[in-house]
Amino acid sequence: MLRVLYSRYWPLLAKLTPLAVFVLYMAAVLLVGQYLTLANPYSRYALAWVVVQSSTLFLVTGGLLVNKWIGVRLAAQRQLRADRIAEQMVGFALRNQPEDGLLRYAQRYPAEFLRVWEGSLTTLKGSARERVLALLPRTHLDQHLQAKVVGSDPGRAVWAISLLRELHQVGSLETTEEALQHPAETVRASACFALAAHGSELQQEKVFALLPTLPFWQRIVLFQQIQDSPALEKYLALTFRSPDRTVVLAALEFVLSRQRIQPVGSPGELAVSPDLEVRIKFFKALPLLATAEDPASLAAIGLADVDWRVRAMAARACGLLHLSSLTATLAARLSISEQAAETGHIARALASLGGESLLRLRSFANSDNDMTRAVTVEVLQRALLTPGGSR
Amino acid sequence: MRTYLLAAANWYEGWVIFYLFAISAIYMVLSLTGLVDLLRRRFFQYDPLVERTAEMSSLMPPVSILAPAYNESMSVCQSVRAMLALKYPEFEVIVINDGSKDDTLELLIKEFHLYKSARYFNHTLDSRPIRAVYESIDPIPLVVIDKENGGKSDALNSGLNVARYPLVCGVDADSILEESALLRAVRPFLYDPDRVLAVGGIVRVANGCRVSAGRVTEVDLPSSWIARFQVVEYLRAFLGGRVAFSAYNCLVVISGAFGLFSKSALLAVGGYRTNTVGEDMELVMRLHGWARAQGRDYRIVFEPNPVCWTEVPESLATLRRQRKRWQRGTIETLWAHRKMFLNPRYGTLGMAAFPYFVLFEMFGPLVEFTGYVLTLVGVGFGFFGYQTALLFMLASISFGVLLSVGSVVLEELTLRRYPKVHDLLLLVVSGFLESLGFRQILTVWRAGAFVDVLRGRKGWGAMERKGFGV
Repeated sequence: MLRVLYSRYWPLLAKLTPLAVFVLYMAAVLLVGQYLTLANPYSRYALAWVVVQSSTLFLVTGGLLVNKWIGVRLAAQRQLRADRIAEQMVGFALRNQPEDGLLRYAQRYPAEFLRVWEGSLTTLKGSARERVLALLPRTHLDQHLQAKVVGSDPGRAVWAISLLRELHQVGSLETTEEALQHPAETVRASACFALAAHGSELQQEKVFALLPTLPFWQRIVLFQQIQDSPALEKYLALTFRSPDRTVVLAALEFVLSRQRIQPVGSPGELAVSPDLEVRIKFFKALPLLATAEDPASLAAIGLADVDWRVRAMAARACGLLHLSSLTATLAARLSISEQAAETGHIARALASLGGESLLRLRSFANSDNDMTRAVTVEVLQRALLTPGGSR
Repeated sequence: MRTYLLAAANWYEGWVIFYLFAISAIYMVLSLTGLVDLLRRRFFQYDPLVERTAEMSSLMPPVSILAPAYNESMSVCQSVRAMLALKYPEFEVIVINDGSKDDTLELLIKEFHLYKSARYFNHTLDSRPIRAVYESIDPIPLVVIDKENGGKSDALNSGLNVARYPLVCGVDADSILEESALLRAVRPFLYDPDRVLAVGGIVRVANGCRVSAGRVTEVDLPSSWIARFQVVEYLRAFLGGRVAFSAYNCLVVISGAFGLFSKSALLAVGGYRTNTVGEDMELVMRLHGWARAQGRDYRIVFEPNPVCWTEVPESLATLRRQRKRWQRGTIETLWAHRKMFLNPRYGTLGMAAFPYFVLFEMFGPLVEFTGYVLTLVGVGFGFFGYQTALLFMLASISFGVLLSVGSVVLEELTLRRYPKVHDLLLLVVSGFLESLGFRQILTVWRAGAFVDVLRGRKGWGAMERKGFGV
């Protein structure tokens, strides 16, 4: 069934399945109609319809109720076992009690054991957590999880990857690497996340190479998982000089997503890139780039850009980097800006620079331009009322 | 004369019975399509890490939440608190006080320490005058617009003017969004950023649930049968039809209680229409029309996972007003966009979804209602025998049961939000009982909406609220 879900025929099958079931249903109606004795065929088949429909609903709802009843009871039993395991786990982790009981539970009830083990990792810290982590290989359940990683059920594969990534074992990471070829996109994505976080330098490089091709949502998650490493430094140094815009954009997104200052060499030529999106993202990321070039001269290039969105981001960078030397340029731009968003960014930058810049901003509160005046008043009010509000 | 009358009555009754079976068949296909799609979603489980990480990422598109409020003093503070506690990296909550006559505004000012803000905004969309904009002195992203009364659409247009983020989420101020609702609703925009114009989430009934600090902490069924019937109705409306229509990109409605839109698309179509009470459906139809006219490859999506909890009426009088208003909205919208009917230029929307809504959602209550009247008159005056009357009743009841119990089955096979066996049993029983009177009452009310439309009746009518957790 799961293989069908990933096959290329699935979209067609998904469309045909409801129709096929409906055809079967109609066949059942015709069949039941043959056995009814009403003279009027219209009434006969209508009644047959009602009979088939009622029986189907009766069987389905009956089945569901029984299934739910059994499910609830089984869940209660599982919970009871999990509670017992959790009790022993606490003793083992905090009071250093023997692990024999836990190993027995792991053999008999692997699902419940793994649930408790996973929960313990999120609640425990320090040496207690380390003890619990080291327990899993002794239960041999890591091998059981490795089998799930490459199994056909994507839900279990994702779950297994998320547990194995905690172990940081070479074997587990190799299996996780195999999951990069899994037919389910969610599994491939989870494997990427795990390798980015805990993989070897080679495995991380593999993930970096995949970065520009990954969908945006996967990149968002992946960026948060990547650990600082020599592989990352190498990747960033190369990507900012790449001629491929998707590679450059992915690297800029990475910097934006990390919200930490990143050493990136000399990416100054991105400030004059012919690609608008690259320029916008570059100036948005500028406060986070530890560049060899002077940020003030880069920001000045941005403030002179032809597109207001680039200018707005450059102004924002001026505020965040406290580039007071650009006060006059910012004020000049504020007086001619026609876009409310750009005006807002320039005004907020001037407000956050304080001192002379704030005084320059105040003069715009009496501007003849309605929009400039209104935006300035808003920014000044926010700066006065809320600490850090100018941002 | 009598012979002709008899023949006509018999023909019409037969036609109504056929109509009921036809709608059962179509509904069955829609439900099966929905089931296939929902089951696939169940298999394609997401890594919980995705949600945890997305919550912290500065790359997530920021969202402006628009919550129009009119006389919502009973629940507005709780709802706003719940909205402010949403898991999402960057968002602003814009409450639009639409000229409330109660102390909605005063409560908000006091509770959230609001001050009169000089916030700048463009009057891109027409709306009634804004008296003041308030923001909180606390570090919370809350904006309150105080404006003259102009109705929900007018309030939403004001909110759109003031909103600053690229995505806007329309919610009812009396509803509660689940903590991760925005994170889940935004997914289609992340997967397919160039094509997705709007995403609708599921609305579920909060009556009976335990609500604490603006959160639904325990899901349970309401104690009143009227509210229980509505639980089944909501499941039917959202899981039965919308999943299937979304799969074929012909989703006609995104509930006004919870919908996420691209702001630029909303501004391009001119925002919400103020001359209809079905503003949510009308907007979606206009988005379809606009995107098709532009020749855009676009998607309007329904997502069953992001949940918005809402309080449903438990009194028949309030329910009657609500249902008549919904039906009026449907009629007005379908009439306004009648050029889409069986128009191949609008693809599956024009050729399938629109005709479905015209035949079964718009005229459905009228056909069923005339069927009931004719059956009573026909049996009373001996126009036709008990067999025809019985067949009509069987068709009507089995159609209702299929719709209701079918949606409960869908819920249990896929999303499973009701944890107890007792809940499932009660839902199934509600599905059966609903067809033995309640649905017929609704049919009569909805048929009555035609009279309201012909008489040119406008306006929303008052909604009574008990407040969450009462």
